[in-house]
Parts: sequence; C-alpha cells; structure tokens
Amino acid sequence: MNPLIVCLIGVLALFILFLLRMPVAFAMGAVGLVGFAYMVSWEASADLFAKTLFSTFTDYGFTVIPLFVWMGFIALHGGIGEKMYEAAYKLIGGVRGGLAMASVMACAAFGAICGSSTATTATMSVVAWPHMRKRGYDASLATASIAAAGILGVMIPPSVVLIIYAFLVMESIPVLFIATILPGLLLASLFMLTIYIRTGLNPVLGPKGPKVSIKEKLTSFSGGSLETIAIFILVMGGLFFGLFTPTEAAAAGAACALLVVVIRRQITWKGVVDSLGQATITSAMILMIVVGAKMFGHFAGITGIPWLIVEWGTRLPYPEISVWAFLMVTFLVLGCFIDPMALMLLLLPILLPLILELGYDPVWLGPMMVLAGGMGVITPPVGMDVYVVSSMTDVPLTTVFRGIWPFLCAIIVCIALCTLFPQIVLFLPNLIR
Amino acid sequence: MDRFNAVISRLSQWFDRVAQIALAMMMLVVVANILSRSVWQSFTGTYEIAGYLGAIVIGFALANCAAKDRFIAITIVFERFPNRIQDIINIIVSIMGLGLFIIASVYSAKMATDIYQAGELSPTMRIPFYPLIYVLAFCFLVLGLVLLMNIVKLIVKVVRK
Repeated sequence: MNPLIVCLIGVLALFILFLLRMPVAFAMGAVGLVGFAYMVSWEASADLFAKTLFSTFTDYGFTVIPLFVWMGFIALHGGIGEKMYEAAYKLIGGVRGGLAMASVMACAAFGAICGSSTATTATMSVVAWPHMRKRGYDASLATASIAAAGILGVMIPPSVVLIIYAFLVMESIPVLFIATILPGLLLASLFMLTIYIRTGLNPVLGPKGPKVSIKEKLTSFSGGSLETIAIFILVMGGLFFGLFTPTEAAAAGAACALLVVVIRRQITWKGVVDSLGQATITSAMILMIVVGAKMFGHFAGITGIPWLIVEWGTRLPYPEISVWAFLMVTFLVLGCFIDPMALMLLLLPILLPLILELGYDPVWLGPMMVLAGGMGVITPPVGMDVYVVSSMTDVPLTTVFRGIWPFLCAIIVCIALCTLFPQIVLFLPNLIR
Repeated sequence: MDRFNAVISRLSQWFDRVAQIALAMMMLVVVANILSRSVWQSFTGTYEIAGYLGAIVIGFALANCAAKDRFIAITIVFERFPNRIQDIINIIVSIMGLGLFIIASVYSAKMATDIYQAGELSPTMRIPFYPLIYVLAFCFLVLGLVLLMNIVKLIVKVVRK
C-alpha cells in the first residue's frame, strides 16, 4: 500500500482512538507500534518500542521534567502563590480592575517557579477568587482572568512544554527559556490592558480595592516574594551563564524552594509527600506522552509524510505567512479538543521540516507554539484551565467561558505582534547565542 | 475480586512511593554534585545515576498514574455515549492498552536479556544496567495489571446490568 495512504489511515485511527477516550499516550504508542510494524516488521517495531521506552525514561535530559514539576508542586503546597498574590494585590489592587490585574501579575510571578498552567490556575483560583468575590467583582471577568493568566505559568520560564519542545527541535533549553520572557511579559501586559479596558467600559465589573500605603506596598515583597525572585535568579541565572545544566537548575530550584518553605514553616510533612506524589504521577503522564509521540513520529517518518508536506507546503502559490496563519488556525481548532502538549508532540514531528524549510527560526517558533497551545487551554469545549477554575470556584463553566473571549483576543494580538516583530521573541536569545 | 482489586491498588501505591523516594534522591544526587563541583570536583557518573533514577521515577509511577486515571484522554465525544456503551468502549480500549504494555514488558525483558548476554556496561560507570531494564519490564507488567483490574471491573459491571 502507498505509504501516504498508510499514514493517513494511521492518523484516522489515532483520532478515532482519541475520541474513544483512549489515553493520548497509549493511542499514539499503539498506532505508532502497529504502523511501524506494517511498514517494516513486527519484531523491529516491538524492539523499537522497548528501546524508545528505556532511552526516554533514562535520558538525563528528561530528568529536568520531574524536578521542575516537583518545584512547582512545592510552591503550590508551600503557599508561595498566596504570597505572590498578596504582594501583587497590595501593589496594584487599588486601581480599577486591580484585583484581577493582581491575579495576572501573581500568575506571571508564580510561573517563574512553576512550569504548569494547570497548577498556576489552581493556585490562583484558591487565592485570588475569594478576594475578588468579596469586593463584588463580576464572576465572569474574575474567573476568566485567572483561567487566562494560568497560561503565564507555561510562558514564563521554567516551562515543561518548552523543555519537551527543546528536545523535539534539538534546541538549547536556556535559549528557549529566555526567548519566552518578553512574549510572556507582553502577554501579561495585554491581559492587564484587557481588564483595564473592560472595567473602564463597565466599572461595575471590577471596582477599586482598598488604598494601600507606599510603606505597605514596599513591605509586601518581604512575605516570600523576595525568596521567589532569588530562586528564579538562581535557576535562570545559572542556566543562562552556563553554570548549571537544565537538570541541575531544576534540582537546585526544587531544593531551594523546599528549603524556603520548610524554613518559613509553610509546608507540612504531608505537603512534602503530596508534592512528591503529584510530581511523580504528572511526570509519568508527560513522559508517556513523549514515548507515544516518539513512536508515532517514527511511524510518520518512515512513511515519508513530513517530506511530502514540505514539498506540498513550499509549492503553494501563497506567501509563507499564509502557511504560518494556517498552522496557527490548525493549532487553535485542534487545541480546542486535544491537550496542547499532546498536540504539539503529535504535529511537530510531521510539520517541523516544513516550518524549517519555510525559514522560521525554531527559537522563535517555541514561544509561538506555547502561545498557540495556550489558546487551547481556555477555549471550549475542552479548555482545561477553565475547567480547573470552574471546579475550584464553583462558578459555572458557561460563566467562565463567557468572559474568556477578550483574553483569547489578547493572545491572538500577542501572536500577531510576535509574528510581525519577531525581535520581541528573538532579542534576548540573540544576546546569548 | 475485591481482594485482587485491593492488592493491585496497594501495589501501585507502593510503587509510587518508590518513585517518590527516587525523585527525592535524584534531587539530592544532582545538588550534591553541584556543591562538590564548586568546592572540589564532580562525582563521576552523576548524569548516569540521575538518568537511572529518572527511569525509576517514571517507571514506578506509571501504575499509580493509571490507577488514578491521570493519563490525559479526550472525553468530549465519549461522554455523549450512553453509560453501557461507554463501559464497553472502555473495556475495548483498556484491552488495547493492556496489549500495549504486555508487549512493552515482554520486549523490555528480551532487551535486558540481550544486554546481559552481550555483557554490555554503562558508558561512564561501567556497571551492568540490564537489571534496571528488567525492573522497568516489571513496572509495565504492574501497569498492565492495573488495566486488567479495570477491565475485570468493567466486565462485571456490564454483565450485572
């Protein structure tokens, strides 16, 4: 059978298995295994599967994932997010829509030690929502701002999605981390601008919070924020100046975060054990998706479909930007149904040759992929972050989704700005490359 | 049936405890290496040990991840099916998952045997690493048992309806 048809049957089978609720990792692994067996031989495929499992699990490079994930869960159980919100709340809470803006700022700050959008969203739902509810904030604006700002958890380094992306495109993790800083800050600013405009048009949505003195604003940073900034500088500084490998940076970060919360008595023994338990399970889930995607990638590679797509994509009589726009729309549409990381792992091995052939810089592409994936976690029907906020605040899903659209527009504006002005992404990486 | 269920549940939790200990150890090993390097010199084989501990973290956490249904899946269409159909689909999908991890387990054990017979050693520390592959093969088997438990529970549920 024509390899192209085999690959298309494989993709179809994959989507059918997805729809039948087979775990994404298992579905990609199963289709990859059977597809590769059809193209080569059963023995070769089963051997490849065993080798892929072993090489992925023992890869020193991938050990960064459980360590960064654990650092995030230590921050979660140690109440670091709460301290972040308190500082942001005192700094900006007095302005119109200030409490919602504070949750955006706190998400960006929390993202500096937590690489997961779900953990960031869950933390801020618990911390920020009660304050906003008490001050009479519109439930839709308040919860949507938390759900959207959760994306900053993966935009501001460290980011688990970017680590996996780095392995897929074989780029440097520190370079990719630094590349997301300016787009992450731009996105946070656009979210805050969105809140400001919405509360400007309708002040009832987000009334001003209580006035806070300058002294209180300054002292707000002493409650844990300074230590967090210190951890961020240690982790990122060590990475950027070549003092640490990514795994060492993650281990140092996790150790420091643990030390801070233990010294400040912000974590119990149960909290430490729970953080470990959540980290191991989350890491197993992520690494199994990586294995599944690798198997599917081997299968797609042997059918030659990525190169057919390159041939097809480069011959299109449209400007390169239209191919890029098409990819972004594909990410937005599929991202509504499939987890962003799984989607990236599924599509990137197939589309990367085309993207590189069109001349796009993989360092620029990384943050764009995270942004595109970010749209998926807040759009219906799946919208993982929206589900998290809704379940933790008891605000109906429809209410949260109703408030999401302005923030989705902010992400699209951010993608457009980074596409029109690539230097937003590339300026900092070019300083260290 | 309940006893089998309890044993598998307990086993996956114990395995996860091993994964948790391995994660804490991995952090300690890597941090100890950073400190040692800053005052003296690096420990030989830290990268290798960290990699092996990473494999223990992931391998031993797989069963509990499956037991807690934490593998990401798309539920949007599935949820629209009647309960009985959902259960039947779940049985089929779990059988496929079971098959996948039986293959993973058998071929990992085969790979470990091949490496043992070839006398292959790890690149830096020159230690045999085939036992780790046998351990991973066993972890895939335990994951398979969790899936099997799920299949049996679902079959009982479907038959009783």
